[in-house]
Amino acid sequence: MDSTTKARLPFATVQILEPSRGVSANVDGFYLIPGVPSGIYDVAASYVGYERKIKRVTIQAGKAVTVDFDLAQQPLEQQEVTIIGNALSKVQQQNVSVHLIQQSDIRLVPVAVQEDVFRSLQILPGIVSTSDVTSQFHVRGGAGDQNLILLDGMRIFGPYHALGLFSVFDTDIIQTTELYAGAYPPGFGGRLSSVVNFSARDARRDRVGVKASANLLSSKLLAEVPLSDNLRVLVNGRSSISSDAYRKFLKTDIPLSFYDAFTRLTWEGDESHTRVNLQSLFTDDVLKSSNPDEPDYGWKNKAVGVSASSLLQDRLFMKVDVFSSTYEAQRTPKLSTATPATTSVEEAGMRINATVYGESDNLYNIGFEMLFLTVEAQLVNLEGASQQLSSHGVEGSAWFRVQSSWDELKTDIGVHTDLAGILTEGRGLESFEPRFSLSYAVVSDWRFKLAYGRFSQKILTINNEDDLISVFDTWIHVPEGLKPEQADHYVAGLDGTLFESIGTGTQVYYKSYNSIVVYNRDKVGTGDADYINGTGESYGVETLLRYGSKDINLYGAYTLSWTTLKTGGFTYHPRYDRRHSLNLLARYSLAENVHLTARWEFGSGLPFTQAIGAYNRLEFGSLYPDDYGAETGVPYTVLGDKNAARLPTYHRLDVSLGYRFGFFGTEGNLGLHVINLYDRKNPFYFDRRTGRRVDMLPFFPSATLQISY
Amino acid sequence: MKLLKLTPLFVLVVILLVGCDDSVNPYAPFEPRITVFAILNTSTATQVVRAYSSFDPTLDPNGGTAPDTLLNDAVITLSDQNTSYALRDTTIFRSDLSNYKGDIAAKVASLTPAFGRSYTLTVQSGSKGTVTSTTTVPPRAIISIPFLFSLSNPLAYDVTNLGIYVQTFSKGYVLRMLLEYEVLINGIWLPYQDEVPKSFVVQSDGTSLPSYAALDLSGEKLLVLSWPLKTLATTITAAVQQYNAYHLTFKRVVIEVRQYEEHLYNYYQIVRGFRDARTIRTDAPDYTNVEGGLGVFGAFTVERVVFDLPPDFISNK
Repeated sequence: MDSTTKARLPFATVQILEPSRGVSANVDGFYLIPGVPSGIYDVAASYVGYERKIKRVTIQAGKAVTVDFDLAQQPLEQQEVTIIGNALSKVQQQNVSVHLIQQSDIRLVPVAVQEDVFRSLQILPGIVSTSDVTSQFHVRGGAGDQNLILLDGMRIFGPYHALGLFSVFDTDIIQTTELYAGAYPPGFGGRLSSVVNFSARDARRDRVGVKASANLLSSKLLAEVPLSDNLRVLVNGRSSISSDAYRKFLKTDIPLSFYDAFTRLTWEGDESHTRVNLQSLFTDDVLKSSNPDEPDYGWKNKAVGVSASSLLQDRLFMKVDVFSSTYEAQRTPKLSTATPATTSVEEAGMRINATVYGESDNLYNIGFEMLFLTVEAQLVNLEGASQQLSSHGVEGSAWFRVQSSWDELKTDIGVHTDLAGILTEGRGLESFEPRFSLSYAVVSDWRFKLAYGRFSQKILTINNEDDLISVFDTWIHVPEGLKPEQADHYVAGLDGTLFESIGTGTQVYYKSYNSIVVYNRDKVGTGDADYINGTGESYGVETLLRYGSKDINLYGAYTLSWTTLKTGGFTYHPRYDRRHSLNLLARYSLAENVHLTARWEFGSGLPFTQAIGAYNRLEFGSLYPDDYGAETGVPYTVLGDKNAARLPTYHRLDVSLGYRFGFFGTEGNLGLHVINLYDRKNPFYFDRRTGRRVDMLPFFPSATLQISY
Repeated sequence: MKLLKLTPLFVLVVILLVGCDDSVNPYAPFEPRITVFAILNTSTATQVVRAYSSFDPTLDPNGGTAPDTLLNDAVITLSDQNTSYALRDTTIFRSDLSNYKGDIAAKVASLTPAFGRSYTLTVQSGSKGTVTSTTTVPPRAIISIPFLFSLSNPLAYDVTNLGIYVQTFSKGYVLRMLLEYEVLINGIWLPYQDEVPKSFVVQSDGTSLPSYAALDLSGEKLLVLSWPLKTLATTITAAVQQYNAYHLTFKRVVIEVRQYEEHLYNYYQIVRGFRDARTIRTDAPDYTNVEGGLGVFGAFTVERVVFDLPPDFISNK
C-alpha cells in the first residue's frame, strides 16, 4: 500500500530474492506466496512510481506470515515514467494482450481540454478511434459495442460524455486500468473484442484530501475522508461549465451539459484481509440544440455495486460483487428528420470468484456470475411505425482457470461457460469457451507468448450502417432466430528488452468472427429478417517500442491490420478498418517540475461509401402503377460499393507543457495544451446531399489547472 | 541545452507533416447511368417507358439545380421472343411542378402484354451506353369464388365472409373489391367506382378508419382468402348517404386480383422502407433490375371476377 495514503496498490510485484520467486498482487493489492520452506528471506515489493522496499521475513513451518509493504512514492523528478502499459507486473508476463495502465499513464497523453482514460488507451497498438470528437474505440477490428467496460465489476453501457468526446470516468477516481485487447482470460465474458477493467482507487486513509480543478469544459471536486480507522469515503463530482469548447470542436451550436458523480466507501477489517467497498457512479448528459432542425439527445448511467473480498481460509481468497447498472438514452427529433428513439439496459447481478493459491505458485480460479438483464428500445422506423423492443432474461456464466508455472513456461488455461446457452438455449458445446495462454522465456527477459480464446456476445448496438457517423446507438438482444455473436482469437507475440532501456514487443493476431449480426442485404419486405448472421475476420501485426531514461521517455506503437465482414456473398471493410496506425509519444523533463509531452498520431484513411450519382426515384404513389408515368419521383442519392473509398490519411500533433508546483501544503498542476499544432485538416464527415465537409479538431490551445490538498 | 535534444524529433515530425492537407471527395467521379422505369400492365394496350440519366449528386433537385436529364439520344426497344415493338414519343402531364416545370417526356408502345411471356427492354444511348432488363409477366391467376352469388343478398352481408381462392404465379399480389354504381345527376347516369375496404381499424378516439387491400407476398401457390362483406355493406351505406338526393343504381361488384412480378414487388417494397412496420432498420437501400443502370422494369397482371347485382338490389331507385 501507499505509505502515505495507505491506499492499496493493485498488481504490485512481490518477490522473494533468494531463491528467486515472485508473485503479483491482485487488484485488491493482496498477494500470497504459498509453500515457502521455513527460513529467513529477503522479500521485496515494487510498484511503478514507488521506492522498492525490502523486508527480512522469518518463516516458521506451518505458520502463515503476513507481510504488508508500505511503499513510498518516488519524488517526481526521480520517477522513471513508464509510458502507457509498460507496467510491470507478472500479469503481463503471463498474458499476451493485456496492458496495465496506471493513473500516471493516463496523464501522459496530451489532452484537448480534459485528460481522459479512453483517449490514453488510443495510443496503444491495435486501438482505433474513428474521430477526434469521440473517445469510442475499436480494438483489433472489433465494433464499438464489443468492448466490455467494467468499473469495479459494474458494467457501464454508456461510458461517454458529450457524444463521446471523453469518458465518464474521471482520471482521479481510477487506480488501475486493465485493457485486454484480445484472447482475454476466463472470468470476463459477453463481449467479442476487449475488456477494459477499471479499478477505482480508495480514499486516502491518513487524512482528509481535497482536489479541485477546472478546464474549458468542466469543473470538478474530489474529497476523500477517513471516517474511522477502518472506514473511509471518496466522493468525486464533475460538471460541465461551458459549451463554447464544444462549439469549437463540433462546429455547431450544441448546448451540452453533463455531470458525473462517483462515490466509494471502503471498509477494511483488521484481519483476514477483509475489505468491503460500496461504490456508485451516476452520470447524466443532456444535449439540447437551439436549432429546431437538430434533434436533442440525453443519456444517463446509474451504477451501484458492493464488493467484498477476504482470505477465507489459509489459501482461499474470495471476492463477491453484487451490482446494478442502468443505462438510458433518448433522442427527441423536434423538427428534424430524425425519428424519436429510446434505449435502455437494466442489469443486476452477482459475481463470485474464488482464488486458491496452490503449490508452486499455481493459481486456481473458479467463479460464477448471474445477471438479470432487461433490454428495451422504442423507435420509429421508416414506415413511421413505433417499435417497442423488450427482452428480459437471466444469464449465467461460470468459469474455471488454472495459472501454472514451470521454470521458463507459464500457462493460463481455463474455460468460460455460458450457462444460459446450455440450460435454456440448447447450444451445448457451443456454450463452452476454452481459453488459454502460454508464455515462455526464450532468453533472458524475452518471452514468447501464445494465446487462444473463444468469446460470445448476446447484446449489441444497432444503428444505420450507412451513416457516416453514429450518435445514437440502440442496445438490443441478438434478434430471435439468430445465433449469438461469436469470435475466436489467436495471438502470438514476442517481447523483451533491448539494451536494457528499450522495451519492445510484437504481436500478430487473427480474429475469426464465426457469427456476427449484420444487415440482411436481401431484405425486401415484411417476411425478410432485418439482420442475419454474417462472418468476418480481422488480422494484423502490432509492434511497440519504449525507451525510458530520467529525462526523456519515448513510446512508439505501430499497427498493420485488416478487417473484413461478410454478409451473404458480399464482403466489405467496416468503417473502422484502418490499415496503418502509428502513435509516437515523447515526454521530456525540461526542469525539475516542468515537462513537455508531444504526441503524434498517424492513421491511414478509414473506409467510407462514396456517392456515385442521384436520380429521381419513382415511388409509385398509388399502389397500382397504372399512372406511374406522371410521377416526378423523389431525389435519391446512389451510393457506390459499401466502404469502398478511403478518407485521406489522418495525422495530428499534440503538445502539452506541464508545471507542477506547491504552496502552503497544497499541490498544483498547471497544464498548457495545444491540439493539432500544425492545424491539419482531418475530415470528419461529409453531408452526402450537400457535399459539405466537416473537419475534425483544428488548432486548439487550452489550459488546465488542478489544485489538490 | 536540453531542448536541443528534442530537435531531431520535432524536425522529423515537421518534415513528415508540413504541407500535408489531402483533399478528399465524398463523390466518386460522376458517371451518368441510364435510369429506366417501365411497368407492363396487362389491363391496358399502351405501355409507358421512361428513360433518363442519373445526375451529378452535387446537384440538388429540390433547389431546382438538377436538370431534367431526359435521354434525348436513346434508342429504346421493347421485345419478346418473336416481336420487337415500336415505341413512339409522348408527353405526360406533370402534376407536381415543384422541382421541374415541364411535362414528362416518355415513350409508349402499343402492346397488351401477354400472360406468362418474357419481355426485354434495351436502352441504347450514344452518350450513356446501353442497358438491358428483362421481366416476365405472371401467368393468369386462377380465381374461384364458390359463393359469389351470396353478393346478391345484402341482408347476409353482416355475417358473411366471402371465400376467395386464388392460385397465384407471382411474388406479390393484391386482392381488391370494387363497388360500381350509377347516379342520375342532371338527367345523366354517371358511373362511379368505390374501393371497398378490407377492414376498418378502430382508432384510440373510437373512430374507425378504412384499411384497403395491400400488396402481399404470395409466390406460386393457392391462396385461401376471405373478404368480410360487412365492409361492402358499409361502402354501400356510405354511397346511399352521399347520394341520398339522387337516383342511384348499384350495378356490380368487382373482385380484382393483381399479380406483381418479382422485380416490381421488390422495388415497391424497398422504396417504402421495406413496407415492414416491424423493421428496426433505418437505412434506405435501392433496388434495380436494370443491368448497368437504375430503375425498374416490371410487370403486373389484372384479372377480375364481375358479379352483376340484381336490378332490385337494395336502395336501387
